[in-house]
Amino acid sequence: MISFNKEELIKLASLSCLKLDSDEVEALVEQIKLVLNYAQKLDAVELSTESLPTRNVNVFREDEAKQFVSESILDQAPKKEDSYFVVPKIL
Amino acid sequence: MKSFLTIKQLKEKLEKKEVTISQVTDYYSNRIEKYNNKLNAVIETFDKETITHENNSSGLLNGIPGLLKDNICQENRITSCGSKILQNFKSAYDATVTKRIKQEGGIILGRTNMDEFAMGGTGEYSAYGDTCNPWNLNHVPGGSSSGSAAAVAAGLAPWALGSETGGSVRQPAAFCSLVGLYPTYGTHSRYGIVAFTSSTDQVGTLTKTVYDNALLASSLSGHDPKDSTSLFKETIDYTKNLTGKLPKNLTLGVLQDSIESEGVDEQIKDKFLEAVKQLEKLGAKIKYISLPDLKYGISVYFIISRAEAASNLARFDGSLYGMRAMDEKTLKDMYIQTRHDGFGIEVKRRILMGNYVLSSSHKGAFYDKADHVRAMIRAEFDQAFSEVDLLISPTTPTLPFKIGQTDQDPLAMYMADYFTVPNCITGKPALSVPCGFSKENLPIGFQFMGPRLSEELIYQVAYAYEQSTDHHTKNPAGFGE
Repeated sequence: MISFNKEELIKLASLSCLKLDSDEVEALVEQIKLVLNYAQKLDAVELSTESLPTRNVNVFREDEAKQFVSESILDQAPKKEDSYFVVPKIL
Repeated sequence: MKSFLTIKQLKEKLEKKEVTISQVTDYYSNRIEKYNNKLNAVIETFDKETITHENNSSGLLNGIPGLLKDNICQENRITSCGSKILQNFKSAYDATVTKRIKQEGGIILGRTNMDEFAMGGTGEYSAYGDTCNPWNLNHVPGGSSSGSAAAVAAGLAPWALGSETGGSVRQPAAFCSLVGLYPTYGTHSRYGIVAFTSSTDQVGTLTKTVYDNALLASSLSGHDPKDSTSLFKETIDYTKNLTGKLPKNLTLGVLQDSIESEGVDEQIKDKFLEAVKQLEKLGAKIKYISLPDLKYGISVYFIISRAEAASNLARFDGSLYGMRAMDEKTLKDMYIQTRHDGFGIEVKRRILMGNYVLSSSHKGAFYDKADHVRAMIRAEFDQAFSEVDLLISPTTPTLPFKIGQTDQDPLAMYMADYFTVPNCITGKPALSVPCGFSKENLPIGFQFMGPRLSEELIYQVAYAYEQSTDHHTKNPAGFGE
């Protein structure tokens, strides 16, 4: 059985840039624990030495400059100034 | 016009000039207006004047209206992915599949409701409210392509596109008595589809009949240089083998697990076994096949899909597009508050689990192991396909849930993907087809799974089966005649 507790959940939420309401925490701990324990069924599998995970290969194309209208992208910005995205200060 | 016309019937009417494209468009727009409030299947319908499509008289879908799931980009229209975080996001371009539909003359009437970011199997995880099953409004239509399935089943459109990662097209197809395809991975372009699990996400097709499905899938096929996982394949006409006959010496493998497992509803088993008998009557040789590693499919899927979801959804942070929490003073606080306000509970649950299985202390035990077992399941499938042409099983182990039934038990909802996940994680195609109804008149579906690029064979066999039954001719009550 996997032990997964409130402290771990809160740490995980912070790493995920998520914050949880206090009434969500208890239920989430239980639900995630349930799913992780189900996923742990894989512990019973003896890994085959014949069937190995596939290695992905990159598919490349020529690096050609193309026209692109950046206004329609910038129009989606929650906040912008001229042709820049504006975000709150970093520190 | 009658209420539940197929694409094929509509095309004939248009060709014979019994109706005009404009009349067909108005007809379906009116149906959506009249019936959508019962279902909440369609989130937005477009003004007729703003709908652009090519009037291509040789186009496969010329003048035929349909709907797109809300995670498929349409230029200058909102693509909200069923989420609050993208509620005002307008796409700057068409997805490749959107472009192809337009080129084939298809008319896109609107966008359909869905579980947020395609995460969920019931249609209850949308920020825009639950979708109901037209066959029984107290039940879910399945998900995540909930609105697409409910809309086609109710005859609000003759076709819709969904997307599938682990069952999100076939499971709602089974729950709504429709035909639903998950194509070979790489067949339908993912360019312009909001990513959830990039290694399994594919656009799928939802229709009333096998012929319509084959036609719609044909319109989407072909290589797309904008998707690096797109296969180098020409456009295929999947309708050309629809003869109504099975190919000679066809062997179908019945998944033993699906008829022996206690987790499968008895009524589903019965209807599935009737379908097996029917296929035998049509001339198929039946073999019973046991694939022991398939039972690990859900575990592998839990791990891989959540890991990829956590990575893919890291981009939604309020910086460049979508919703932003405006009152925060620092960048990090803005990220956190935006994601807090914008994401629903199922999305949060999956991101958290994804980051857990990817964390350095757990990656070996979870992600790496799942990746390896995925390869073993692929090998097991390949072995099976050296003995049989296609595999068949029920599409879902359970009947459509009652609305609210899985609220406190997400594991029950996830288990609905038991039979649909294995082929998705191995990139193999599968098609769900109606095979009857339960005593409560809830739809039941079963599926054909094949080796990579076996869609033509799958459609041929499914069509022969469908034409020998009358399940596809039934329609839900309460949506006109």
